[in-house]
Amino acid sequence: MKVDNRSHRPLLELREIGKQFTGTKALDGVNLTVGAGEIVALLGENGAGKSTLMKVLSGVWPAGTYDGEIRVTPAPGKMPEAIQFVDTRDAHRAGIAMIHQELSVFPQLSVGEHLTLDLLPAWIDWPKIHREVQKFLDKLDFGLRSEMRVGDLSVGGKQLVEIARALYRNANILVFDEPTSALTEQEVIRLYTVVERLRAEGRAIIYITHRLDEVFHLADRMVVLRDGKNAGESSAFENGQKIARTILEAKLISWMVGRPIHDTYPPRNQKFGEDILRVENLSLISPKGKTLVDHLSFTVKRGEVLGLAGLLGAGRSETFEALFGALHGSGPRGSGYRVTGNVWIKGQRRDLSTPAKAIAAKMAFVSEDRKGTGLVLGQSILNNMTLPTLISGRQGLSSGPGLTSMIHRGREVTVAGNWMKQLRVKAAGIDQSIRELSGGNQQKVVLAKWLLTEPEIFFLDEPTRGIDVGAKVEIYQWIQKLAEQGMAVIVASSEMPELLGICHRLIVLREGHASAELQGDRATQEDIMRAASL
Amino acid sequence: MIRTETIITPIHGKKKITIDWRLYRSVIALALVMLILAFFTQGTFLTPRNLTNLTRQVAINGILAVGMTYVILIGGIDLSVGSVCALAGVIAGMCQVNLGMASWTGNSAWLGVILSVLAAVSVGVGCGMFNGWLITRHRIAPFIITLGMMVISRGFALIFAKGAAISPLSDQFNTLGQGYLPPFPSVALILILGLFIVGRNLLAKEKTTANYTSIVTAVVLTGVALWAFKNYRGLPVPVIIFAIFGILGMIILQKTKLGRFVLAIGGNSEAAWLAGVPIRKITFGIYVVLGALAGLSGAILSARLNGALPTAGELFELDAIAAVVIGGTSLLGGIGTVRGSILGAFFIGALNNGMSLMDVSEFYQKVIKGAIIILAVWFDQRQSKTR
Repeated sequence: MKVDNRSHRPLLELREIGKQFTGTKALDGVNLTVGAGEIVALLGENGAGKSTLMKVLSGVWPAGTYDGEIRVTPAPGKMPEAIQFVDTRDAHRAGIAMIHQELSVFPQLSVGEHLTLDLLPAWIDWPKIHREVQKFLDKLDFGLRSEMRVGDLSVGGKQLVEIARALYRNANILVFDEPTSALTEQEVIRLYTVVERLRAEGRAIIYITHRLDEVFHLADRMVVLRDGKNAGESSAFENGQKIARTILEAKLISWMVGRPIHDTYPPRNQKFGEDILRVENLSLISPKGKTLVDHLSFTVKRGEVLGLAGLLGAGRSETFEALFGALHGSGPRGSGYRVTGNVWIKGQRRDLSTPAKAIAAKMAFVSEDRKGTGLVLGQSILNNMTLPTLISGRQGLSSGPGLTSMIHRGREVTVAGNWMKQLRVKAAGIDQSIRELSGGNQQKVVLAKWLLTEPEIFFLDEPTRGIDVGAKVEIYQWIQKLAEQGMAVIVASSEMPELLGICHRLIVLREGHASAELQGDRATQEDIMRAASL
Repeated sequence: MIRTETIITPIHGKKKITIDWRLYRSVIALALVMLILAFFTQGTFLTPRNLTNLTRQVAINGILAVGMTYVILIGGIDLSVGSVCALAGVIAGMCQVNLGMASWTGNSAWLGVILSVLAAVSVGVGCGMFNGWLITRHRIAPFIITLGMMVISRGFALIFAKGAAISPLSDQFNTLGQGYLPPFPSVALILILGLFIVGRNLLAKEKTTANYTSIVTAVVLTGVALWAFKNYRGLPVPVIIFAIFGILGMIILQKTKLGRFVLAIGGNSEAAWLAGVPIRKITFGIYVVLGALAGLSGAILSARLNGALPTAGELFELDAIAAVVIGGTSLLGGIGTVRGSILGAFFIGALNNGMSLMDVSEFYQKVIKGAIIILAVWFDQRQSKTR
């Protein structure tokens, strides 16, 4: 697909970029052009080559380790020149800045210190630097103050600091890598405004995301990578009109996964059983005395998919953590959290004060932060997969229930390997380090790890965060399949379309209490927003 | 992103052959050091007598290194082991001398040995419980707690011993540090162990290179051990104790649930906790076990010196930590092996022993040892990065 590019003077051209890792081609002749005042969305599944391409662009992979050419226009009116980066500093000097998904700010520094960190003179006059930085920040109008401690800012605030830092260095080419994955709705809206302003100022923007919503909202052009090659490219406009979303969406998804996907959300399970989980007056109070969950009561049936909606900090994850015993005093978060309320499972009152007890009660919990709390990254797929099952002593993986009982590795390999096949985890082998897998495959391992414990009540917190469309659809299918087998599934998510697409029933949380209960097939995003933020 | 993904190969299909260079490297490095030392000592280093002495000198640091491996694997550290050794030794000495157990005769003398050792181990357990309690309940950094414990127990050792050596101990007690299992049973024991390892690896269903490595290593080690211990006086008692704990340590880490949980806690305590691992219980237990091992080492040390010195065991904690780190265990926790730590202990022991044989002044010994520890770890980290 040829795109009319005359309206944008190109600021950046990547030509025929190729990059090899021991035997595999991560990038194979990729082309990407971004013009001044243009937002280009870069799309693709995990492992499609987006990150590698951005590492080439930002100088992480120095010149000589890849093929092809990077051309940057140094100043308005000049011709693009081919440049070669030795390290990331060269890329900075060329005006290229990355706004990372995982923000690399130093929490103990002030905003001013952060902005000037590597530009400081030998003798530092802090009041003067803060004055200058403040003048610059006032122009940006991000609501930041130079003396603020970065650690005290919200995730969105930290991101603004990163953006301000890039602009302070006169970056003309900005790369946003999944910038909204940890933002609240309001912060997302503010980010959109900022990005649109950067476009209006004539900067070139590469925007990497998995969320198609954002693509349609922001992008002027979309470039899709698959298997390290350009898979397709489309402008957002045709004859001066925005192309209809449905047409564009089908095209983008088929480029991304290499085949058309008809139903993102599989049909909802229709087979229900008896009530399995009943929660009454669940409350959670933080060590500082803040009420995180406030007298929450609900019931879930076998076969039902229940959604927990709400803004960031409304108590979605906290509800799971309280129910799963994650905040017990002997855990890594220490004592001080207070959980009250009663829980019945299959009509029996249960004590779920530690994860071990929750697992024994046939509960499972896929946490929100895959790398932080879900996986032991330094270990193999196998060791990760069997960990909770070893504790519970099910499946005959060890000679007994005691801590010093022997592990039967053969049995472990059979049982875990079976789930690996069923969930179609792509890996070199069961002993491969989990760190080397893509996000989607890591998430499948987390799912498998919990399915191995044969749960009946499944908590999923942000189950599709940061994973590609193909893997997302597979996870949605699994959710319905598990419900059909009689499991009760509770899903918390910040993506409203996802909740509306998979849940039978939705509980909207606001400041820790249930502000509304909605039907999944009838409710709209507006209903959720109204209940979540009123 | 590195695209090396392929759909998983059938589980029972042909296994990819990987060579554990990390292990090979340490074994080769140790063998090289020993050959160099043999050369500079005109062969004295590689005599049955010296090898016997070497293993006996390594035993105490080895026992501590096995326990220290676990503490470091869960992301902790214990600086108090050396002082706890001294305190426990003093307590054992006091049982022998002040309570008069050293003068008990016949079978009572052996009862005295058992009681003295029990007292020493109990003191170690007590110190370990104190460390573990503060670390798990009150979340004070292990470095600080055990640093405090190191000074406290050294103080108590000096107080109880009134600053002087406690001696003499009974001959029976001294066998703990100086005794030998006679050559014939020693040979039998070594042969049984060697054959067991070789047999198990030969009978493994799908043999990987690790199996062949184990077979070769076991054959070589069994041969050297047979030669050294048969031609001198047999297996030293401390070496037998070291072997027991070393083997236990390896089996628990590799084969049991506890080992898996220890690695998980060190790798990501949050994830381990959510998977149901009782992290507080295990952390506490591991500090207690290391305390107990330090107590036992204290008793062995007093027995070797025929007297309890309140100043003994100085810097033992650093030797143990160095052995663990040289053995490839990450100080951040989660990655490492007991096998590596044992090799590390032998590495340090060989250096100490060899340099003494070469009449290198003790001042220079310190400088050389420190430099070699840094070099070894630096080399190891560079290698694992390029891998």
